[in-house]
Amino acid sequence: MANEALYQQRAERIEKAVRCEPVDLIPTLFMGQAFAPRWMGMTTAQYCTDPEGACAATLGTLERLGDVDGVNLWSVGYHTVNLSTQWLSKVLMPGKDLPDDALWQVVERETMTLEDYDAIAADGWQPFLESFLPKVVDMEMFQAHMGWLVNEYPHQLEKFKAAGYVPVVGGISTIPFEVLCGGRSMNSFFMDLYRDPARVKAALDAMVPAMVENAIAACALSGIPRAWLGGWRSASAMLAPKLWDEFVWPYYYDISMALIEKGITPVLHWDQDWTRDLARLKELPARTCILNPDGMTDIRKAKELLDGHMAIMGDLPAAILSVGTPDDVYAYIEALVRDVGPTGLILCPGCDGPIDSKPENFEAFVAASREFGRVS
Amino acid sequence: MKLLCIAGFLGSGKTTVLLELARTMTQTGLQLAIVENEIGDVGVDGGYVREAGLPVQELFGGCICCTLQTGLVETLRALEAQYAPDWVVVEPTGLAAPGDLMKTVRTYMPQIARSRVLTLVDAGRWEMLQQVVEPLITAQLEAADVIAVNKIDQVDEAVVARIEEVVRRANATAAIRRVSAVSGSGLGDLQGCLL
Ligand SMILES: Nc1nc2c(ncn2[C@@H]2O[C@H](COP(=O)(O)OP(=O)(O)OP(=O)(O)O)[C@@H](O)[C@H]2O)c(=O)[nH]1
Ligand SMILES: [Mg+2]
Repeated sequence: MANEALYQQRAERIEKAVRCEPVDLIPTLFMGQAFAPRWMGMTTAQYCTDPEGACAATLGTLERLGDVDGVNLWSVGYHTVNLSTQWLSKVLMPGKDLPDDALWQVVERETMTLEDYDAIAADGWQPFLESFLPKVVDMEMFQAHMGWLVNEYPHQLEKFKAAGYVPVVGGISTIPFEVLCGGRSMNSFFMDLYRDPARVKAALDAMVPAMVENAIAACALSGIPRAWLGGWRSASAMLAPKLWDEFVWPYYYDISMALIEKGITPVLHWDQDWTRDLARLKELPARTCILNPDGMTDIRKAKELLDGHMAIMGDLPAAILSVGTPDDVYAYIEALVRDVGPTGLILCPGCDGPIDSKPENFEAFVAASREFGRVS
Repeated sequence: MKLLCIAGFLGSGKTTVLLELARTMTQTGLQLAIVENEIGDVGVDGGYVREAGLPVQELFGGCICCTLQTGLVETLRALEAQYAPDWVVVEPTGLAAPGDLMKTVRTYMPQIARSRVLTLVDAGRWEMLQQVVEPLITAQLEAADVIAVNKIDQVDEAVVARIEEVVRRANATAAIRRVSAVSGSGLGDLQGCLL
């Protein structure tokens, strides 16, 4: 089949899964942001400083894996800039702060002050972010990143499409909690929630409009109507229910609704265990979102609660990819398809395929997904 | 090779306890290796550990989500191959649920002869942690073989007793000890019930 037709077929397959409609083959996606360069013989240092190269490594990985429908999140632009802006944290860079082929490292340090909450509440998110970023990002790289997104990103996306692969997410976002928790550092942020929740909440509320706008703009720029909404520090396994109900869920709900209204599908990329609160997802309109857990959330419970309501994307655990065997992969995917498929399921590594994933495990993932994912 | 995991929320005293245990364990003739979650402000890379030349491996957890567990398995395998120590003492990040960590380790390293989880409770910040991150604290308690209520120097007896009550409800079988890691009080007894 010509690549163009293949692309169409794969894109439709994914859309059908999102709508929980029958599919011929359960869609299968790659995700392994640090694995891709490693497998393609590129250092992480180059991956972080050469955005075209990073795209080529990702596309090369897809082609080497062969029959996958597309890619979940991958490195778009300068990878560490994305991480820094998402978590308001410095990121140690391979080739600069770390050895050439080391994994980048988010620095868990307090970069944001208590007064910054008030500044955000008073002036809004965007002005604050602009004044804050120089503390955690090399601004030259940031400018290059922004320029690349506008000028080069659309061309790179065309290459994926021309090769027949669907880039699944067009924009990256999260809830304000995750961002400020990064900036304050966990310890201080949790203390803030305890001592002065109103002060924190005023800042969180003020961030929503700009964060929504940015996510919508990213989707418009990429032409991809799906946005990645990440989360792990705000997981149910971490937070007391009272706080989760007040500082986490309303934000996922509001941001998701704002995206859905624009025809964008939120991909709730939830690392850690969110089982306790899965039922809340039923509050979102049916067949408008994707839940993307990482192997820690009880995915069978998710299926039971959300069957026909929300697609589930996941969740081959990272541990199996790096220290398991192809047999482990086969067994996992077979059980996953049996228990969570065939409709409303998209097969994908949970979290992110780690840097030291064994290539044979990724190959087994694709082979097993195609074998067990064929719907008769 | 045996494994001791020292869990507990951020700042609960894991490194302080680890350093003291490392000193006394080494003195009894045991060969030790150490795995640290990341070089924090108070790391293990100084003092006694350096003098004694104990092997220290860092576990990077810039994102705790998934790389942590597999990184630990690889690190343990490497330590076993290179040093074959009697014990590896692991300090994961304060955000880790040790139950998940140990499950992964036991699955992929069945050769580990014995594994023990020590969970530290931060008595000084107990109330705050219960209000904010109770599920994480409870998970850390549930996975423990031994629980040490630390920083008892910061609170009075009644508070310690109340903490112990809640701790006991979370874990019916673990040994519970009171310690003050900075002064070393209670640590000898702790080592006794751990190893
Ligand atoms: N008052 C008091 N302070 C203690 C005690 N034990 C540890 N501390 C202090 O608590 C702080 C944190 O101790 P660490 O040993 O670094 O704690 P940790 O759990 O390793 O911290 P992270 O690795 O950052 O999660 C330090 O300032 C210690 O001196 C104690 O028993 N009493
Ligand atoms: Mg420590």
